[in-house]
Amino acid sequence: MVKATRKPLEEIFGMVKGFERVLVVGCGGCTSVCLAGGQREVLALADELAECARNARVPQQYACFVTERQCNREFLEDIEERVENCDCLLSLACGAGAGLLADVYAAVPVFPALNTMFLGADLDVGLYEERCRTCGQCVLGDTGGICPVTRCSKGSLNGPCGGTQQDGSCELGDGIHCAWNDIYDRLKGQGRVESMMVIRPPMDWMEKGPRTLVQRGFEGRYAKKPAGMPQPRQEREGAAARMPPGAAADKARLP
Amino acid sequence: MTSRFITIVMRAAALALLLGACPAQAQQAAAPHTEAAEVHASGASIDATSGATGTDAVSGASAARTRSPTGPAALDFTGILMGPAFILAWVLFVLGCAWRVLQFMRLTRLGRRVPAAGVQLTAPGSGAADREFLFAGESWLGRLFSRYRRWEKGTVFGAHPVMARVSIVFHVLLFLVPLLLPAHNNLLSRALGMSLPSLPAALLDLLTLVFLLIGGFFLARRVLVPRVRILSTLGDYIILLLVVAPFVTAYAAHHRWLDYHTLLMAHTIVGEALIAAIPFTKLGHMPYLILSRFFTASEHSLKTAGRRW
Amino acid sequence: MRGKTTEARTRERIARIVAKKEGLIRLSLQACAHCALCAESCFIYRQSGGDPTCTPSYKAINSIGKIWRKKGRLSEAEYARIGELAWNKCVLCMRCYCPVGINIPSLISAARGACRERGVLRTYDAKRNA
Repeated sequence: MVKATRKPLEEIFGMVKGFERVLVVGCGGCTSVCLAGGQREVLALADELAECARNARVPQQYACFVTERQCNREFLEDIEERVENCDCLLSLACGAGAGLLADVYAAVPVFPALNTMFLGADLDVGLYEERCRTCGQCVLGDTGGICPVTRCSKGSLNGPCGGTQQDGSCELGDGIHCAWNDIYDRLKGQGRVESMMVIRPPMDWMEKGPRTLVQRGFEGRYAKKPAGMPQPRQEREGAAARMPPGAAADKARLP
Repeated sequence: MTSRFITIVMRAAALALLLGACPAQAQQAAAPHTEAAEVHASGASIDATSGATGTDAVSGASAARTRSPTGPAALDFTGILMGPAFILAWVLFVLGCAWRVLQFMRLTRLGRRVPAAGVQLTAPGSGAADREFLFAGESWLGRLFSRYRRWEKGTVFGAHPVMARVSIVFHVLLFLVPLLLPAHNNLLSRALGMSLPSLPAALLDLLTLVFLLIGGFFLARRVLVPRVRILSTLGDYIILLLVVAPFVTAYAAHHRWLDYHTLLMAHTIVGEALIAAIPFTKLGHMPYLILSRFFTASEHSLKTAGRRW
Repeated sequence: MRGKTTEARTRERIARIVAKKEGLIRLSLQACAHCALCAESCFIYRQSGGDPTCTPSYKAINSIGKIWRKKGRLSEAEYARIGELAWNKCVLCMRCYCPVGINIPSLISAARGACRERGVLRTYDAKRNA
C-alpha cells in the first residue's frame, strides 16, 4: 500500500495557523494502515496543533473526522456539512487523497499533513520498504519477484552493473543489497536463471504527465481518444517489450 | 417529513374513497354485480373456461344477489371488493410507486462527470486483444458461445446459477399469468371494452403450478439456506404468502376445490392487498430495481447511468 | 461545546453521522429483499467458508441498522459486536452486489463512523504473531 509519514509539526502549524477553524481529515485507507493518518493520529495531531495555537496565542479551533478513504469521491461527500463550518482542511491522506479532497472542495484551502513516500510492503509494524515504482511495465515474472526498477540503485533493467561487492551489496553502499544479486539467487533457487537473460529495451519514462487508467471492461464507459492526443503507451511498444533469450544478441537494440 | 405527509394524504384519500363508496355502492355495486350475474346466468362463470360452469357459479350468483343491497346503509362486500377496493388498490399502487420515484430522486443526485486529465494508458481495444488470444481457433459461433459463457460467469447468473434463473422465471410468471388470463381479460373487456390476448387454460394451469412450485422453492431456501435464514424475518414469510395467495386461490377457485364465490372473493382480497402492498413493503424492490440498477452509477450499471446516492 | 459531557458530544456526533444518511438507511432496510444474493460477491464471505454473518446485507442490517433503530444508544458490548461486523468482516472493497441496487458500502461506512466515535476501530499496530 501507499506509505506516508507526517511532516514536522512546525511545518504543519505554519501551514494552518492563519485559519481560525481547521478541519483535520484523516483517512481510513493506506495511511491508517501505515499508522500515519488514521483516527489516533488525527486526534493526536489536532491535540498538538491546538497546543501550538495556545502557545502562539492564535485563536484556533480544530475539528476532526476520518473518512473511509480520501481517494474515493463517495466517501468525501460524508464531510460536506463539516467543510461548510471550517476555513481550511488539513488532510492526513496520501497525495492522491489530499489532491482529490482539494478537487472536491475546491473553494477551501487544503493542506497536506503527510509526505507520501512510496508504494511499499510492511516488513514489520511501523517498518516499511519500497517495493514498486509504478512503471506500468511489470517485469517481476522474469526477476523472481524482485523489482530491478525499485530495488536496483541504478534501475538497471538488464542485469548487474558490474559493481556488486563480494558480500552481495551495492557499490553505492548504505547497506543496500545488489538487486541483481538477489534476483540471481532467487531465480537459481527456483531453477529459472535463464529468465535473467530476457533483454528489454529501457523503460520509457518520457510521459511524465499525469496518467489515466481505464480498467478492463470499462472501456465502453470512459475510453475515448481525442484527436491529436499521444497514443497510449502499450499501443506504441506492442510486441517489442519482450524478446526470447536466444534472440537477445541480434534483437537487443534501442528503439 | 415528505414521506409522512404523503402517507397521510394517501390514507385520507383511501378513507374518502371508502366513505364515498358506501352511499353510492347501492348503484355501483349493482352494476358489475348484475353483469356478473348475467354472465353466470348465461351458463358461463367469470372463469369461463372451467369445466364445472353452471351450478355453483349460478347459485353463488343468486346467493350473492340475495346479499345485494336493499338500502344505502347495507354493505355489499362483493361489490366493494370488485369496485372501490379495486380502484383503491391501484391508486395506492400508483401513488406509492410515484412516492418511491420521488424518494429515489431525493436520495440521489446527478454525479459530476469529471474528465480524466492525464494521458490515457490503457488501449480501448484491449478487450478484443484478450478475446483474440483466448478464443483463437474457434469458429464464429464457438466464439459467440465462449463470449457468452465468459460474460455469464461474471454476473449473478454465474454466481447463483439456480436462484437467478428461477427468480427470473418467477417474476415473468408473476406478471404474465395475470395479464394473459381469460378471466381477467373478461373483466377487462367488460370494464374498458378492450383486453389483452389470452393463453389457453391448460397452459395457464401449468404455469400456475410452476409458479407455486417456485414459491415453494423460495420458502425452502429461506428456511434451509443459512445465509438466507439469518436474514429472514416474519415479514419475509408473510410477504411470500401474500405473493402466492392470489395464485393459490385462483387455482383453487378454477378447479372448484371449495365454494367458488368464497374463493373468488378471497382471491380478490389478496390480489388487491398484494397490489397495494408493493410500494410500501420489500416488494418495493420492483420499482427500485429499475430505478437503482438503471439510473445510479456503479460497477454493475449501464454506462449512461449517472446518479449517485 | 461547553457544558456538554463527552458522552453527550459523542452521542451528538453519532446522531449527525446517522442523520446524514438517514433516508438511505431507512430505504435500504425497507427495500432489502433479504435474498442473500450479495453473499457470493463478498470475498470475506467466500473465504470464511460461507459464514452467514459475513453476508453483506447481514452486516449492514446488524450494524448501521441497529445503530439507527436504537438511535445510537447501544452498550459497549453491542458496539463491539457491531465493530466486529464493520471492521473485521468488511474491508470496504466496495464489490458487494445487490440486485436491488442498495449501496451497502455506504451503510457500512456510516456504521464505521459511528463506531469510531465510540473508540471501536481497527488498529494496525498490534503484532498478530506476538
